Amino acid sequence: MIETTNQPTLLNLPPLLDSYGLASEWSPASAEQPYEQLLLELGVDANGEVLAARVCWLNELTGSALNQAGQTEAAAALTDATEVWMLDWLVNLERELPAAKQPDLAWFAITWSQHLPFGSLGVDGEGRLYYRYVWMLEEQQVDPVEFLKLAQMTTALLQGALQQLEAWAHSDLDSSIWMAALAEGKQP
Amino acid sequence: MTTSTRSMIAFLQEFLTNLRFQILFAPISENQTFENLMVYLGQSPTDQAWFARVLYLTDVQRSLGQPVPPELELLEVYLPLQIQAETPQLSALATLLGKLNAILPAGHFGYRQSDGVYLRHSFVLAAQDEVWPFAVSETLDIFSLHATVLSQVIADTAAGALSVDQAIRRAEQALGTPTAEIDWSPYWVSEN
Repeated sequence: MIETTNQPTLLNLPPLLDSYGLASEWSPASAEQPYEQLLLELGVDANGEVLAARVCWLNELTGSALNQAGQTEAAAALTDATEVWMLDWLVNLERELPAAKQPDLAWFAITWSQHLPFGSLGVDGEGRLYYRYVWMLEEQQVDPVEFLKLAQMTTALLQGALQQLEAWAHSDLDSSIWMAALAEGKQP
Repeated sequence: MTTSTRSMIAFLQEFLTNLRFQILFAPISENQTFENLMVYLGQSPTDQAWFARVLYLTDVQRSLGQPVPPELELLEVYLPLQIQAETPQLSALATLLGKLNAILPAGHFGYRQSDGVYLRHSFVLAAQDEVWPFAVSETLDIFSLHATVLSQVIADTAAGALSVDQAIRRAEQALGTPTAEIDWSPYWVSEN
């Protein structure tokens, strides 16, 4: 198994997040889920829909997946290679879109990502929109204040991205024309 | 450009050079108001040199007169792969990149008209903090690996020679690991 601190490293975050009005729920590593995880409500979009994030250590997640796949040597090699700890932020942005826009959503997500200061939007194999950012850290521990700042910045950039998504989704323009207009500094 | 970002670029140049990266340093000049590093990461399948650019995005924003939050610095590592796609292939390309981005350990693929497919990662830093240099070298190593093992699959998809499913299977073989679907099941939404 991948070696970790074996100590909860995200457990101390919920009280601080709560004091800033961000609901969160921490869960420890277990047999079913061999990595600790923080589920976090970053805020809401313009339609009042929750921006729900899952935060966990990518090193643990990958090690767990390799072990489950029976690739214990690869998991052990990962342990040896671990010099950087990666905190994986994944935000579920699944939204109802007009049917005509759904095939164009992956392109919208990939090209809009160039306007994000950090992280990227994408569409998974089920057609669901997500946002992901990997925060690289020297040790497997998190400064709560830095975490809170990152959460607040992520909320702001996602609210902006979802505003664009909403405007594009209810326009009659395809994403290429929409993005070309933005590149010229015009709001379509 | 702030004093701290300027000294940090110089420090990164020295640090990465000591790790045997080949680096070009672009200083401030008449045509450029910010410093950056160009790090050589190998050759593409079409024998083009891959150069990753390392710079403070916040320096660029300042040089353009754009507002930058005083408490924030963004250090960007950006590698253009020069893979262009024709319009009919854009959707398939975006679908492939979206699936890959869900599993990559650091950075993400994107697409810009000018550069085609690129790899990018931004380090979000408090203004008083220095970037941890090992994280930058790790990112460069990861970019080099992903460019080497995935660029041909991406180029073939962009050219319409591979379907998304075929490309995913090739990517799995190249990475030696399944591109697991995102598991949304643990997502928790408050009743409030």
